[in-house]
Amino acid sequence: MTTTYGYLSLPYLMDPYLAGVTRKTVASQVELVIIKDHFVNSQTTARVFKNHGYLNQVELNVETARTVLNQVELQIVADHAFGSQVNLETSQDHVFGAQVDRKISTDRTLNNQVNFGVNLHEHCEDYGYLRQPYLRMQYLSDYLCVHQRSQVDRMVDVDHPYGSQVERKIFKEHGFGSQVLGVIFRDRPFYSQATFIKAHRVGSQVRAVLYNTTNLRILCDFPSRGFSGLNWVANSTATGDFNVNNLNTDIVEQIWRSDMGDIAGIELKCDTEIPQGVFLDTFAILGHNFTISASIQLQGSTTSNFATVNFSTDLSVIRNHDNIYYIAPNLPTASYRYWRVLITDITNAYGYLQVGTIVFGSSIIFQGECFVDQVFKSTRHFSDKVETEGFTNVSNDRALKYAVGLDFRSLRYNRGNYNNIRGVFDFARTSFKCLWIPTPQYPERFAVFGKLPQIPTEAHNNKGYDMDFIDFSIEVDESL
Amino acid sequence: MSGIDRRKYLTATVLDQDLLDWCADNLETRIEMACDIEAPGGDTIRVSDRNKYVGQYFYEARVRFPEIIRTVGEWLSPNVSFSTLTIEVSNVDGRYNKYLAGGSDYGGWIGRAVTVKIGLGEQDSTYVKVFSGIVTDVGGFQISTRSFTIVARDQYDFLNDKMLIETFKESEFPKIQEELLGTLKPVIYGDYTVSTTPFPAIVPAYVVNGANPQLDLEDRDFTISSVSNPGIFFSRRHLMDVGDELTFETTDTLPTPLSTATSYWITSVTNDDFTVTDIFGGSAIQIFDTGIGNHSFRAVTRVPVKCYLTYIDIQSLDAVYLERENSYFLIPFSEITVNSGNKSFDILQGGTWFSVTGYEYKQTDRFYVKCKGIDLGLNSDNAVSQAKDILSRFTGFTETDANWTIFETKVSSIKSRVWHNQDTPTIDYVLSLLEQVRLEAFISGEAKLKINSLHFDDFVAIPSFTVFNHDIVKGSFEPLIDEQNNFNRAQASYDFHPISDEQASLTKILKNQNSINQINKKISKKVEFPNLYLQNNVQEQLTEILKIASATLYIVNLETTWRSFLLDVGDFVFFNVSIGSAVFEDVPCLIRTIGYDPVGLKIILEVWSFAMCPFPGYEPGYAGTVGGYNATITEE
Repeated sequence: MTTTYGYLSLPYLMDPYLAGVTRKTVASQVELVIIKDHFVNSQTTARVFKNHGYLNQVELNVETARTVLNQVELQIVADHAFGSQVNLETSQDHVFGAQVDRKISTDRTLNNQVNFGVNLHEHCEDYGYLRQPYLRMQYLSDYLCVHQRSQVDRMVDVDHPYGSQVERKIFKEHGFGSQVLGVIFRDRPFYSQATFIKAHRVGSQVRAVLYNTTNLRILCDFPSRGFSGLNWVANSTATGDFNVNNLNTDIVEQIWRSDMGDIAGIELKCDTEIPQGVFLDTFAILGHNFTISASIQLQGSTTSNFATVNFSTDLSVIRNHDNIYYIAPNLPTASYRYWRVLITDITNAYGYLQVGTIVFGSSIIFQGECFVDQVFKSTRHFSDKVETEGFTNVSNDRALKYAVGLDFRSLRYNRGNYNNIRGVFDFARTSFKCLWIPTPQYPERFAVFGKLPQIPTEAHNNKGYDMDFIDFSIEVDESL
Repeated sequence: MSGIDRRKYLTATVLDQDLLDWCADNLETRIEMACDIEAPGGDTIRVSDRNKYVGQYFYEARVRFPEIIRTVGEWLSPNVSFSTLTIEVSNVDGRYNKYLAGGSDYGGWIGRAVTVKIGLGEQDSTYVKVFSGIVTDVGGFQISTRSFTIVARDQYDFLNDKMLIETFKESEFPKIQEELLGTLKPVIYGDYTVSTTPFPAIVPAYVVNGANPQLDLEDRDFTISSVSNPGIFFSRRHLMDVGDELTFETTDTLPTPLSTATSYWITSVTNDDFTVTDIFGGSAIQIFDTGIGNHSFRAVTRVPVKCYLTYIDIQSLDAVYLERENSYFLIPFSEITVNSGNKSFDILQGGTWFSVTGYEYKQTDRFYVKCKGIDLGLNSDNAVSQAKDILSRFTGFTETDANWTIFETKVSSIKSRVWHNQDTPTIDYVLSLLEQVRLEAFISGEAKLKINSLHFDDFVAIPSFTVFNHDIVKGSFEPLIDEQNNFNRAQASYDFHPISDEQASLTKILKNQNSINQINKKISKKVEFPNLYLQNNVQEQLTEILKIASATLYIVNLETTWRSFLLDVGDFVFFNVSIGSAVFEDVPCLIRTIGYDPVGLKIILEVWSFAMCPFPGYEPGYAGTVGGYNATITEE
């Protein structure tokens, strides 16, 4: 171990995103190789094909006796019934290092199929690994007191209540590469939705990413607005209240406008003022006047002059929509401080280009659970109507605004999705506008840049601590 | 009228009646309000009831607009309504805190300009000002935790300021009698050389040195305030000057060494004290005691009587009369020195025009003049010209509509004159002048003071705008008889005489017998024409007024849709309306009041219905029509 913090010695997922503070060079403790599909109940195969040097603490399926530090030998000698896929039995005496007798002498009830007894472990008086709900305590924290070579206590010796976050059992067949099921139900703080990545320069055993482009995503925080709010530059701006920094306002009607005649080669450049850059998974241009034939590019760069364009993608105007959305197809793994939009729209009949608001950043993304299929979309016509003595009424028109209603059913209490949306409620309340994109595959259909008229009432189906399912409905209204 | 473009308002650059009609036929438009508020520091706060642009400026949705009303007021008791606008601007986010007390740009709000305008969407060329005002000095700016509130009064509210502000002051007239101090100086327009019967002249000239002991040589009491060398004499506001000659009297014994029937001369003065010498040019004398009894002094030399007419130059001073004990004496101009601008003059004492012993001023003497007032050229006698000059001269107001010139010509045969020294709002006096020649003034849609005519020949028989049922907001149509202005018998008092402080003449009683017969009742009214002085002028105006008043005038209050937005006070419109028992078939109506209700942009109207009042070009033909331009008005 050459770094201050050893792998798995830090609180898992609590350190900075993509921080990579773990540095390992020697002594990778576990190597798991799956080289082919397995039948039912044989999902885990661990083979060690050759001898290992110093500190090979665990070897599974040891075919021959070892002479150096083979403390454990795991062998399956017979078929086992359902739920007892792995029987750790020591069928013969070993000369060296046979410290543990791994016999299971009695049948186990459901969920006790695996007995990883490590008798030489010294358990702490406080919390031991896997004795608390997984990921609710700091991972491999000081609560786990183990001696060298006995890092893991895999004993599951009691039934766990529903919702025990990790049970290392696989009850049904999985396809290739799905042998490991990792489920995290635990609430995560804001912006940690996609933190299931542990990038290690050496010995990166696991990369776990939670990202999708199918579920509801909510862009609440707009790093596009910089710290100063004066972080946009345009190469053409009309005289009057058309400042380019109007792009940063929640008032979509307050616009940036190019000078009359400037409809080609327009650049809207954003300095996010964040040195580490912005991971952009969601982007929206709201309230534009571009034509369907406009050429629009979104670019990201680490340099303010875009000498190197590190990211570039084309955007398309959607017919009959004055909003443009971009949803990153994959989780962005690079961040850029500078972003710009390049627009050429030579057929624009207005003779100028204008945009109401631009927002981008990293969204809160629902995982697994989501709203029910039925989406309520309302178009609201604001108009002062006057009823006349002529048996008709006349209108003084104001505007068309949109609202979307979403129903959530049986969200699991205190799990990621629920806690994420609660975080949105707490942050945005009924006063901040957020960009709600229910269907990122076709965002223009239901996306709304709006406010909640009210924070919804939640119906908790109370089944006990951490076992609730929650129903509620929200509405997002861009006219508020 | 409509076409394929049913939302023409989205691209229109001109807001005219054609566009409004087009929109009305499609039942939709987009007329919006916007407000500019001058903020401390020179910024402009632009707010509206929605987020929007007007031209190049962005207006943020932070206010709800109140109703804004303009009116010509009541006929025969005219007034111009100056709107007060109260706008509450949302500041829940502290956006405008920098302009509030303690803020970085705070500089006070009183007197800041506030403008409200109405137009089409973002098209600034279509916007029309409907209110221009300033933040009032009393309660004009208030704050709460959520907002700040601006109370602005109409920009022309200053027309309510007093017409006359100059008074007689001791600083200007050191020897003025105390009872005249603070009295407003008069203003004079028109011809006061005629129609003064039964007096030879009716314009008063104020004596402004009436407290001077040298004017009437009457005794003034004094005491010795300091027995010393020199002795100090006390006589409150004695008004003697150094070098003035005087003598002393007493009821018993004068202070030593003074003696009666002896001339003394003033050597020094303060307001209430003086010293004397017994040798012209000599030193002040010592006084050794205070004497016994009551003492008095008397000036020896008479000075001219200083008379004051007005503080603005007038055309001419034609004659000056002395009134003593109800007798009038023409003072020859040889005895008078007329000062610059004919505003004042001095009368010599001792002239034999009064008696062989010569004229000597008495405190009870009064002076009256024949004169011609402020020079307005050929329009010096014209009521409209006089009104216009009063506005300009006393308020600085020049935003009169071009139609003033038209009506100057129209009433040129009617003679008007003004002698005024009352504490009257300028606009009140102006409206009174106009009313006497059957004209009214109002603030127009172009923010000008415009004249509305009640002359039959100015009425519009075929208006271009017709109000239909579908223009009227449901439930808002309320016709009622104008009780105040329905009368069939009238007499006029006219020709205000300053000398008597009342109208000097009455016309004969005029009546509309057909109207009296119809309702079997005489409804009488006395109408005042203080500024007109020719009987034929007054009789003609009264006759015409009676023709309107004896027709059954209806006032209709209603709200219309935004199609009426471009109408203005004084406009004629046809009413083609049938709502239950209210049936108006092509009836010309005169708009008396117009307002803007921002909710749906309803137009608030008060109109006069001429259904029973024929005028040239309009003959309703209804049975029972007894009023109107061809009504028979007779003397009683």
